[in-house]
Amino acid sequence: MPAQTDPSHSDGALVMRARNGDRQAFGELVSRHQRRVWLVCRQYLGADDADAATQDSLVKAYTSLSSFDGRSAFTTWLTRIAINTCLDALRRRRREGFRIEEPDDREGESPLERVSDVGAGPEDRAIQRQAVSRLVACERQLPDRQREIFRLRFYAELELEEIAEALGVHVGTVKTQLHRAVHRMRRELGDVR
Amino acid sequence: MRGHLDNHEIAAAVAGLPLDEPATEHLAGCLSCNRQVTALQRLTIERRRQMADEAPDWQTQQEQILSRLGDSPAPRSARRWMRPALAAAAVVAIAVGVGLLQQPNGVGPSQEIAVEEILAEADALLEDDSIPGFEIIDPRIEDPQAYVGNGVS
Repeated sequence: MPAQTDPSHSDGALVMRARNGDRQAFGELVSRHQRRVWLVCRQYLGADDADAATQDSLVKAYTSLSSFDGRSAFTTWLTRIAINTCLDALRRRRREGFRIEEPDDREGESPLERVSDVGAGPEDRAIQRQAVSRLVACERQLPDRQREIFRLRFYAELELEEIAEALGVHVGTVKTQLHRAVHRMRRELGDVR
Repeated sequence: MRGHLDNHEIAAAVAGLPLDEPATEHLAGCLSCNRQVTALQRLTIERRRQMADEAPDWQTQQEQILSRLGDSPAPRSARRWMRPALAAAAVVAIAVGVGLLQQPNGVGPSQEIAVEEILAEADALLEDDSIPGFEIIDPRIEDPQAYVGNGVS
């Protein structure tokens, strides 16, 4: 893959070429960003739906390239499209009465104490899976915005500024919501002094 | 020397938010506080790893996306298709303005100014990149004097 630091292969250059109908250039953009878009979609939808939403998002991005004005980074613009695509899908599912299954809760030991530093044998992996299930259950208890920001930060690994721009909020709001989400997660998971 | 980080500071550290210098220094040297910070981080790393296992085949996904583009309209500059429409709208607006000027009861200075503004906007609209269908084929067409004495038909 050509170095992205080469100006002729930057996202901006590829966007210009794709705007003029260069499908290969758009293919390169897809290759660069599809994982990231999928990770964002995965924070809103299950794995299969995230794949469909990723495809929808990137196709939408192609047909909307003329509206990308370069004021934000291409990745941020793409993230915003992905989030809107996922929210549309969720609204459709809600209208159709589709319910999302909740992972089982687990009593007892704090999940934070169950995650080992070393990826050991099957038993350790099973313990880790249970701890993660508990993590997911606690996430679902968060207020919607806190959960959204928590997932975009920790799982989609977006920077705070990017989250702010994609959600249309101030970065200070993102920091506050993220801080509250983490604090609450730690309390729910049982690792608070 | 300050004591252990409180819960809010640990939450900030977990989230990757900045801490004040004393807290940062304490965290660098305190195993207990570090364990507090990394515990939730390790869980999220494991969760992220699980998600990565669910990822689709990227090559297949890319092919599916590109095959769908065949049905999608090619992206065009929004300004390209808008300019002829806007130019046409400007012509209509000018015509309306001229019509107003020709009203039997006359026209005041404010309506004359409005026509000038419309013409100025139309000029500004047309002076940028060429508009498909509005290109000047031969500059001499705009200058009748160019034909005088040239014998050019």
